[in-house]
Amino acid sequence: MAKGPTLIASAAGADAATVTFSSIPQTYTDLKLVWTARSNRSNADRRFWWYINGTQGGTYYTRGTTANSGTNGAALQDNNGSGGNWLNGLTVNSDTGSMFSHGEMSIPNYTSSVQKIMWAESAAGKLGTAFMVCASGNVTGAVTSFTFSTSNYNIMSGSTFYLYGIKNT
Amino acid sequence: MPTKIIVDCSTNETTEVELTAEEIAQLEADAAAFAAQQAIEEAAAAEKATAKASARAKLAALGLTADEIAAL
Repeated sequence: MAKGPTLIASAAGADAATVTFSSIPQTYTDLKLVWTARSNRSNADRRFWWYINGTQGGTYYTRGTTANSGTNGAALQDNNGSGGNWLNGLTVNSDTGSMFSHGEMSIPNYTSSVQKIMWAESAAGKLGTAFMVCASGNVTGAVTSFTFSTSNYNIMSGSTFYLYGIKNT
Repeated sequence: MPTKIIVDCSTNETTEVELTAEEIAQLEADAAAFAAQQAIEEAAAAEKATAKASARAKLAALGLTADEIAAL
């Protein structure tokens, strides 16, 4: 019978550029990240970046789609090794004040020595900002750290991040 | 100076430290890469819209009605 998910750690955003879970335990089979977040950007750039083990953009191959196109981002995101490690559904500071985006990401088999796959979704609470992405990362070591970043802006106070572990024993 | 929050899962300890110069440079590079990609996508969309308008005009010149063009 499946066991979990079990909360490994949590974090609260405090007007910092990045939030990182480090020293992730290797005792689960899958990881699940859940967050509510808001950026202090004043424009419509809703990207929420992620880094596995501190590895940068060229390592990731992604395919994603946004609820609509226009100022909220391209309708289709297709980045093959060109810095596509981001989700497009982040609430920004020009949105209603009490609004925080919600997102989830799964990383199965995170302790393996093969390339990692990720599946994520995020919605900013504003029309046209729901986003889904599947990705693979050429990270062949076990996932030991995971970082969120808003790229040159801050993750605002009131944001929350949860890291869960899942295992079947 | 921008900061980062680190949660050590082995100790549940949270620390906030300043970003390194390399990390700041990476954030700036990410932003520049996205801006470049967005410009490419917007140019492609504009080109497609222009081609579409041109095609519609040519079809109209051939005698098709607006409803007939829309039905294609």
